[in-house]
Amino acid sequence: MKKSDVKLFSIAKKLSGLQTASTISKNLGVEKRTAVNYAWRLRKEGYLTSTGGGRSIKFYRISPLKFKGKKGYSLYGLINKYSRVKLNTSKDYIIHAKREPPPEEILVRAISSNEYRLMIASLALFNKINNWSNLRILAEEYKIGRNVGALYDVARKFIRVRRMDEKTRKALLKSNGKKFLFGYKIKSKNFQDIEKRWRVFIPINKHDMEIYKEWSR
Amino acid sequence: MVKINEQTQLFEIIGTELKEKTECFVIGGSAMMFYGAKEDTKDVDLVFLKKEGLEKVKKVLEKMSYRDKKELVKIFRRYEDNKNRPIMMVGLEGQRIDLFFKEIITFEMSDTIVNRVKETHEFGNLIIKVVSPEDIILLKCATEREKDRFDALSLMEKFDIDWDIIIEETVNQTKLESYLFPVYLYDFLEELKEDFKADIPIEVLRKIRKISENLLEEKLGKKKK
Repeated sequence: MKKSDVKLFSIAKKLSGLQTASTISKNLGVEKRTAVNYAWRLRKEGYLTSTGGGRSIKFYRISPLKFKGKKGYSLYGLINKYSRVKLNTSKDYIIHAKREPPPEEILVRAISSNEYRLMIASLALFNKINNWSNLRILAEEYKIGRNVGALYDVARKFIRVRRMDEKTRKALLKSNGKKFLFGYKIKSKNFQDIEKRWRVFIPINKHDMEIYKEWSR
Repeated sequence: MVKINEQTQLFEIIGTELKEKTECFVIGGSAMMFYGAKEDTKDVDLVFLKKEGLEKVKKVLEKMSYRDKKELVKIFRRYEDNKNRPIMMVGLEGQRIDLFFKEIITFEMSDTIVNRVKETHEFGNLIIKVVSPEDIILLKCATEREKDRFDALSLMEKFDIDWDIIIEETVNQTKLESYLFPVYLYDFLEELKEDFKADIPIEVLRKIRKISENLLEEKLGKKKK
């Protein structure tokens, strides 16, 4: 390992996590311009990936373990790709497949994941669905047909989503459903009409969805 | 030696051959490869929490011409008196896969280890959970191989190790079957600190030593009574 590589590795270790140009400059005690240069060098060596930029703040994800060479599709990464409500988590679920999972599959996986934040963030994917039939098949496979239908109705009330065709809707109404399990109890009485129609409990309240609507803009 | 690409290919084949979703945990060098902290490993170590999952993967490996190596190579400490011996599968080219059920010799797959998993990989029907770097270090102390010390050292350099997790899990292991675990761990970390100048806080060593001493006193006290 060259001396410069060792230096870069120790910087990556020191800055490990989520950073912006300002936080890098503060942590290293350098000017913002120098911090951006460091970010460029870290990216070149594979220690850094970034999101955002343009009108919003640019976030750098830094890790002493190089990002280069990581294979597979991250479920959280795919949600962030399609949804405006972004997830920042230390956990990762990587799918090793020949092709990128379509939005239908990502949505069904997110709803069945038993992770509240993942489920909420995935609601925006109802606007990316191209193949409703595929969504129904996958939802039935994961035994969450009615859950998907109910969440679609909730999402439709607050955010822009594509129209679900009647055939899929009828099929989902007749299909299976299961309890949402998040490891903690969630009470909500805001969507009782939808709950009654789809015969599943909806673990979201109106206030959550209003915040979601704000963030989705 | 198994490289990361070969390991991925192997998991992909197993995942395709399995008929149902099967979950397991990857530990040791294989886990380090997932984190990008190592380029190759001598063997792939998989831990199962369900016996049927282990049997299914074993069957797939047998289909792939892997053979069960009955006689254990003496790499594990205290393996002689352990009832849950791992199944060692050896491939045609000598590549080795060790299959463990719930226990890794003196170490038990506790709920806390399961909850600390941060990375999950899905290869078709094979779901692989990568244990945390702290747990990899803890598991490394169960072996007597020189290279495991280097692996632990490399992990300490590359990750910001949360030593509180190590101490908590050490105490946790004593509540399970392996009551002498802190003694082995102290021995292992002390060696790393002395011989390899590992960056282990002295306070951590003191705490583990105290836990070990208390345990030994407790055990000896009970015997005397």
